[in-house]
Amino acid sequence: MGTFEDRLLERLVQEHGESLTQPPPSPARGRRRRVAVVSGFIGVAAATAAVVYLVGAGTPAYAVSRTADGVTVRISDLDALDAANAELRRLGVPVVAVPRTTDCRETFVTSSNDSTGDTVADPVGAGSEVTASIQGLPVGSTVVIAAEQEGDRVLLSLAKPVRGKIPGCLATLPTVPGGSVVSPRTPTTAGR
Amino acid sequence: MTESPEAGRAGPARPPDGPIAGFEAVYRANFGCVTGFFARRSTDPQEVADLTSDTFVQAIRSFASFDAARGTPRAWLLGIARNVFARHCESRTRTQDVAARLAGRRPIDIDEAAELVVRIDAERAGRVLFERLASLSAADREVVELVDLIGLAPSEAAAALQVSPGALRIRLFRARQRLRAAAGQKKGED
Repeated sequence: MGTFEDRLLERLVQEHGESLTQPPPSPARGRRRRVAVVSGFIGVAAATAAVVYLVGAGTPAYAVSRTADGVTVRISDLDALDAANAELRRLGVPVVAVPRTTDCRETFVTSSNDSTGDTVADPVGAGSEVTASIQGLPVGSTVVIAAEQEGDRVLLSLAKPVRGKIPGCLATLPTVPGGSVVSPRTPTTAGR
Repeated sequence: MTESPEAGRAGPARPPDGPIAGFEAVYRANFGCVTGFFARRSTDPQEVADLTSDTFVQAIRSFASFDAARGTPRAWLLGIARNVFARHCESRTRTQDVAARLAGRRPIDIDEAAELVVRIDAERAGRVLFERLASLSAADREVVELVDLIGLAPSEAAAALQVSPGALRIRLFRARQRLRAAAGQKKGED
């Protein structure tokens, strides 16, 4: 127990101790607002687009826009994943973007065949922008977009929709020399 | 340099016998971790004292709304410390005048300075390591510091940095990859 440590604690309690007994601000307001936004979207289905730039960057960090049957997502910086997902949530679309890493050990259930794993994205169609359709998507399912850094750009690819728990990441497919992709792993091991 | 993982869990989420005792438990368990965070960034005892004070002032003011379900006390405090330091750097850039910068600060006495010098010295190795991470971006450096230097679990670090566990994982993976590449390059040059 040191001098500075003790004196600082003493001063903190003396000068700010009152705030310890005050009730915390209610978080309910934010929650109600979010529900209202989602409900409003379902009723009106208005076309919405959001483009966000990183400070000092010339290209947008992410862009999310509604299409007739889904949403188009563009991400140019992996640090913008959270913000892009917040925008997707705000739009009320069951689409989520997750990082793709080699050490991912997440488990999940795909909505198409209820198997565990095997939601590996189709790397053939990978690009800086993907359009996800949510038409006919089973209730409780979520479309997953895998985001992976490749050199200076972020590659996005669509994975199979998942049901229930949304994985925080997807496993990277092993690649062979020349850039072609080795076959996806079996449903029980992919996307661990 | 890796601090005990128990440090963050030692403070109870809610005080068993009053809010002051609860705050004190969190304060005592994490005081070293917070001063260490600043001692890796500054060798000036007064600056470390000011930044530590600012962090705990914010912490005591918002302790009533601290939610243990969203992260450990240590992750919560390091999140505050990080913001305090960012604001400090911002104001230091804006205000070059030392006198203006120190206005309103409580100067520490000799005993307190001596205590902080000991803590700053104890962080010497951590500071060297932290400087070696200079090749990384500030964001990547923070992740490596929290997980590999302080010993936070990735989920704790994600809470401290206010990013999702997925984003934290990708940032950590990327930072370690870059560190490995930099180490390999240096080895090649040697």
